[in-house]
Amino acid sequence: MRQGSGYRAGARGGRGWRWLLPQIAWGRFDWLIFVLAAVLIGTGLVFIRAAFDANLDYGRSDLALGNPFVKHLKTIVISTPVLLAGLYLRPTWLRRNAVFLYICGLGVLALVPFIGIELNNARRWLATPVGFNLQPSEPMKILLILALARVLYRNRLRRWTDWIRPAIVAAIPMAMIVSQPDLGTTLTIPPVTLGMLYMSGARGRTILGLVAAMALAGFLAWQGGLIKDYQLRRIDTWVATLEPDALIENKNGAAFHAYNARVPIGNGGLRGTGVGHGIANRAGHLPEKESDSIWAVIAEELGLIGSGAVLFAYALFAMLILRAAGELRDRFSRLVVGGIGLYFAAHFFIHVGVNIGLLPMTGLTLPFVSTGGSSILASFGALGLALGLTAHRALALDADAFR
Amino acid sequence: MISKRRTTAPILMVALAVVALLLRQAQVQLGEHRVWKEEAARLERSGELIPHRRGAIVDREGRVLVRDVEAYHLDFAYREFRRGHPLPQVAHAASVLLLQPVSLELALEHVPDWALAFVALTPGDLAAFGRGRGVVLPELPGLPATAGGRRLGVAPDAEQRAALDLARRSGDLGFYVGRLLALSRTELKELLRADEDERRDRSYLELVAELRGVAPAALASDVRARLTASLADLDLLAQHMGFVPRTARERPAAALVRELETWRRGIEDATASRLFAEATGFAPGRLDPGLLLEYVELDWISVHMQWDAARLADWAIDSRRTWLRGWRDGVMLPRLMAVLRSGPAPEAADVALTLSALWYGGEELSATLDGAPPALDERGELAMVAGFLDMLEADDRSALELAPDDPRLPWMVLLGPAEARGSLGEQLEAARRAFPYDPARVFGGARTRVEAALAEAAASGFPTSRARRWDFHFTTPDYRSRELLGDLAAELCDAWELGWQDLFGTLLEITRQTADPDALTASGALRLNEVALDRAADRARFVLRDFGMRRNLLDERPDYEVVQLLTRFPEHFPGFGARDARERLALFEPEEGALPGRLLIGSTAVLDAELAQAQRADAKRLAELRHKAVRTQDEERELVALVARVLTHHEERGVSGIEGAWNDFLRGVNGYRERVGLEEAVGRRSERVSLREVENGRDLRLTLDTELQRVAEEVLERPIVPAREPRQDTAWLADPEGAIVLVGMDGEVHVAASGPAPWSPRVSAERPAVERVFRKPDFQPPGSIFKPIVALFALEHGYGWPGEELVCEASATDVGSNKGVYKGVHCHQTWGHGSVALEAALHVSCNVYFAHLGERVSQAELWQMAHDFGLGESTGVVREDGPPGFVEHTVEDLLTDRIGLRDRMRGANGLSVVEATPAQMARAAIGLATGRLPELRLVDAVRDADTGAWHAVPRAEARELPYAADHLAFVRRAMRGVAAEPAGSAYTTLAPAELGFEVAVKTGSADLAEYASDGRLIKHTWVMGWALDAAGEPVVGFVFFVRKTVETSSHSSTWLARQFFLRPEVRAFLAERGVEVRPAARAVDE
Repeated sequence: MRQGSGYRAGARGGRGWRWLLPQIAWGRFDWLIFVLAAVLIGTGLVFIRAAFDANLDYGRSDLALGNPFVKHLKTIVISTPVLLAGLYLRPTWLRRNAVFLYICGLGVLALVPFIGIELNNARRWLATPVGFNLQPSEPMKILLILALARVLYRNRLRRWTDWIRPAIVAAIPMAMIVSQPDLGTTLTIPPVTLGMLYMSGARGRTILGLVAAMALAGFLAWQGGLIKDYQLRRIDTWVATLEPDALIENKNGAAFHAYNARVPIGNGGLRGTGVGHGIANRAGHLPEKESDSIWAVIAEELGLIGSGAVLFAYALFAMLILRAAGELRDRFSRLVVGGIGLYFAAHFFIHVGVNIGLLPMTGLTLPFVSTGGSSILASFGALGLALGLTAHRALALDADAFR
Repeated sequence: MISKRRTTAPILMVALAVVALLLRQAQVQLGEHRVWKEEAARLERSGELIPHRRGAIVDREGRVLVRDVEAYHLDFAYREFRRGHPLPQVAHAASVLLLQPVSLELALEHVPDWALAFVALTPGDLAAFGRGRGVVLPELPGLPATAGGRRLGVAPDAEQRAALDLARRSGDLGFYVGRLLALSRTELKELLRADEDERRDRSYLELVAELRGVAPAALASDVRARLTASLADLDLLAQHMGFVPRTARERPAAALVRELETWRRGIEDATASRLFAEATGFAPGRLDPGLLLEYVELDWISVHMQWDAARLADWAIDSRRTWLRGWRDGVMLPRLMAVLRSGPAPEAADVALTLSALWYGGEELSATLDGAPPALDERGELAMVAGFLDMLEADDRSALELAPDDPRLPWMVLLGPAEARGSLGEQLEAARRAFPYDPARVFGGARTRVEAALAEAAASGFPTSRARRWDFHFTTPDYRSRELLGDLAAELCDAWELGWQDLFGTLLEITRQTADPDALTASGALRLNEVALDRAADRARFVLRDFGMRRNLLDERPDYEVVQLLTRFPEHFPGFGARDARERLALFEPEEGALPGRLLIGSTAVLDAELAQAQRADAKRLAELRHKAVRTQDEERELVALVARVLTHHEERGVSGIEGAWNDFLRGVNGYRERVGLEEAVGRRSERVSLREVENGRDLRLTLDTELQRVAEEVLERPIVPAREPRQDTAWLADPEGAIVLVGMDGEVHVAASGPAPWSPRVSAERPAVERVFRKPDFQPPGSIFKPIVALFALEHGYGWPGEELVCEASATDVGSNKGVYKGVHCHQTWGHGSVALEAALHVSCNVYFAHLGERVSQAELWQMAHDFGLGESTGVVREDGPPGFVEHTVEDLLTDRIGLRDRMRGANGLSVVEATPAQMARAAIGLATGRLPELRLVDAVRDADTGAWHAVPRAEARELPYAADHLAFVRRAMRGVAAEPAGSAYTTLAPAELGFEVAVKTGSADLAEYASDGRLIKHTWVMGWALDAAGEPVVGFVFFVRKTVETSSHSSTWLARQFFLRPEVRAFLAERGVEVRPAARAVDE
């Protein structure tokens, strides 16, 4: 029914502002996803503004630091055309050009070691004239989703050889990103890839077996000393500091960041301290409180009830995208939208998990909420694609759609 | 429907993930909420110790001798200075732009010009600079790099931009521009948006002028005027602080700024060292600067600190110097010396275990500082290695993995079997020689001192080989040997440290050779891994802020004008502060050491390294408790107890004299309060909670009379012997040493003066002032002033009687002497005194007479009479259960060795086997005068801190002497005759006519086994007695002691007594006590 009414609504699109995106069937447009994304963006703006005000109040802001709130707003404005572009692109065009876009993305990623900027001991960024440095690994994740959808488009993964191409497609950017090094971004790729493999027809038991094998390989590498010492230590630190006493003991050493994230979260309790009034904002010890650690600030200032609501909203956002993917008959679009749902879910799980100590410490933004131009850009592009592909008039129906 | 099935599982997975996240978050926020709430509170909590006021010490008249006074310390916090004063702002802005450090000194002369050039920059300029496109400044005086329209900070290469950290530099530049324009919060918020719009190409000066509604030129004029006024303030402060410019052209502030520049560098060095330690786990000073700069990646420090290569090298050198000073002189040498000087025979293994453990960290170091170094097989990794191994990017680090018993380690020389032979000195020398000892690489110049001392030792016939010198010091614990032993130990430490550095350098080179190229920087240094650099980056902001905010002591005694400036106009002097402090001030001390009675009052000192080590465990526990956000009641009690017990760094504690012995009364208890809330919060009120109220120390009232004490010290400094005295010891008069004691009949000490006093110009570090009233640094027989005690004992026990006459005459068989003699005991009188009775014998101090009496008494009886009058015993001034500090010498083995007849005969004359301090003899004088032996006391009363009432110090009852009154009366009469009778030994100097009042005295001279350069026998001379009032009753007892003169008491100590008694202050004092003081027959120099 939705499809039918949406199509009629789309037919009326010639009137009002909707003529701007005539290819969108507005009746099928998932406004709930859009509204949830807007809520998350709004939440981010509130906390980034509160952090800025706190910095001013506590004498930590000057011309030297700039205004992250304004920068964030500017990034949102700059990224809005990317969202519209995502809405605009036709599934068939995407399908035909997915591999080309993927190769372009890899090309840009390959430039990073040569012309990239090194900040905080990692070379991940390319300079741009638009006010923020581009981190190519962020849009690469979306391009990877497109490429995976393309290679899985006619691939049912029935023979073991069917696994080779998607594995290669996923492995190349992973290897390039992990070498930057960017562990956080790298960690988001396996769940997206495995999820898309599953959605394209891989058996659940096979996926679970793969997950188990990867976990075992990781464990053996850890135990066997194959992981780099500092990575090993990061895991060791995480395991050793799950208990509060151990974390407090190591607060000035390896667990500095984890400690300063756990204190505000725990301090928030059930009801929270109120926006801008948390210890994270007042004391100013929490590193990256507007980006990689923004969940610690949200959890503290909104408490379990408030942050639980944000958590629920975010999960609902990701699940709605996945559900929308499930309703798409076009296999390519379904895989892309499903991959995007998994992309948001993976970011969300890793970001929150790291901050609350469920996962080892690594840096990853929370899409729509954290500052970070590349993250916003990629998230807006992903949202545009998800919304556009679920509501596009030009359905690219093939044989699969009637299976 | 397949497609729907294929998204259901991912949706379920997301739902499961949300449940997992929620559960974990609930665990943290609900289950662990209390823990983290406490931690959050701790982040906002700060404790403050409130120092107590130490009790004052007043004299018997209530005149304050020493007390704590409220004072100020001049503090300096560089961060506040940098954020608040234009001088550092322009210097830092110039540093940021030129990409090299610019000193405060250079900036001082150009502040307004530079500042106006910086505020003329536009938001676009800053953005361009941050992106490596550079910025052009007008030509600025003193900054040649700005000439010729040169574009500064051009870095087209992203790598170069990142290395120079231009984005942060741009931000910093913005900060300084904002500060120079004194932006309000509203203006700041407005300008933060300027680089986003069309205003980006207008200067900050113009933008702010527009916001304030004034013309840019007017604002520029205002800025110039404000900056000029700030510099004038700095000039004023420098002038008041006593800084003098080097040249007439220099600003008054120049000298102050030079000192501030030193502070700035020190703070930057400390910050960089902390960052390095955060990243690597060890202090940079542990590594030789050459090794540090060559082998360790340091570019990241340059980025964080915005340093160039030269500044980085300076830091490496300074870090090494600072660390060596603290580690070697503060930790290693004291501990090594403790080992070397412990017990009769320290062993090489003890030395090796102790010294080697100091290269470790953590528990090993802690245990070693506590005197229990762990065995080699109980040790982990060396402090430097442990940190380094974790943080290197290189995969192969096996070369650096040193086992605790690796034979290449310097200290293993002492533990090897080949070195187990020979004396300890030989082994230590072998251990030192095993490593190249290059004086150029050694800090402290110990070698020069050692060489000089060895040369001196060779001239004196002492052992000159180093090995024998070591051994000599182990068995000869005198003062100088300890000092030299320290220098030898320093050589050993230095040699081993250099040996260790050489070894570590070799291992680093091996590691570098085997490392992948990726693990090396472009310059070939070993890269640090991501964790190390992340950790440093995480902490950099806080470390920079923390070190910059620390307040450093700039002046312990700032002038009143400086304090007034800083307290009345704090906004004019950002970074400078007058902090409340306490100072122990001697009010009678216009010059250092001029306080009368300083040797008795003693001194205070702040916490030293030894005591800090002793209270380390308590201090650590106190810090732990202070940092606990929530404490149990037991912990709260423990904290309060520790606050009371642990000495703070600036707290004065008594270390000698009354300050030391009565420290438990004088010291109060520090208070402690906590503040909850962030001080820097705008508009946020912090709450203060007092956990312990401060308790001030209690005042002490002494029995000393400050005026008389001063007179006595002056007399001892400038003794006067009139010209009519033909036998003057000119050598002693040129450099007099002695003591004067004046004691009330109940034992209250009014005067206890030693000469030379601490204020004497004759006193120096090489010749310190020595307390001589209660101490007896060397053999000190009382001589003939012991005779009244012998006479009294003889009368009491029937060994003599008043009418018995004995003959004192020269002996024909006594070749070479014409003095009276009896069985080898000589009298001082040529041809002897003839036939004398007991009273006359006392008058003339006949040695032969008392040799006879000595012949009649046993050794036990000689001991008994000395004991009856407290000779060799404590006088009672030292508190038995009190803290140490006041030293009184007693002679525990007085007359306990078996002595023969000759010694008994000499002992009865106060020679050879009898010893006493002036205080003991003064107490004996009171015993003779009153028949009761009181305990002497210096502290009369203690003031209740709450009520202000004085409470007398409890004292023991005076001891009744077991002598009959008529015997005592006989001796007293005889002693009056010593001064009053023409034949008396003190008649010339202390006769009633000479003094204007009557005294009962006994003089004494005690020969020592030493000779002056002219061959004359050296002796101590004494006068002991008491002054009499009009009724003939004793008023005060006294002792005058002349140390090491060649003249007898009649020609030395009696003149000292006369000079003292002729002083008007003394005469007034005696008159007040009923002594009928008439005018003296002659002036003091007649």
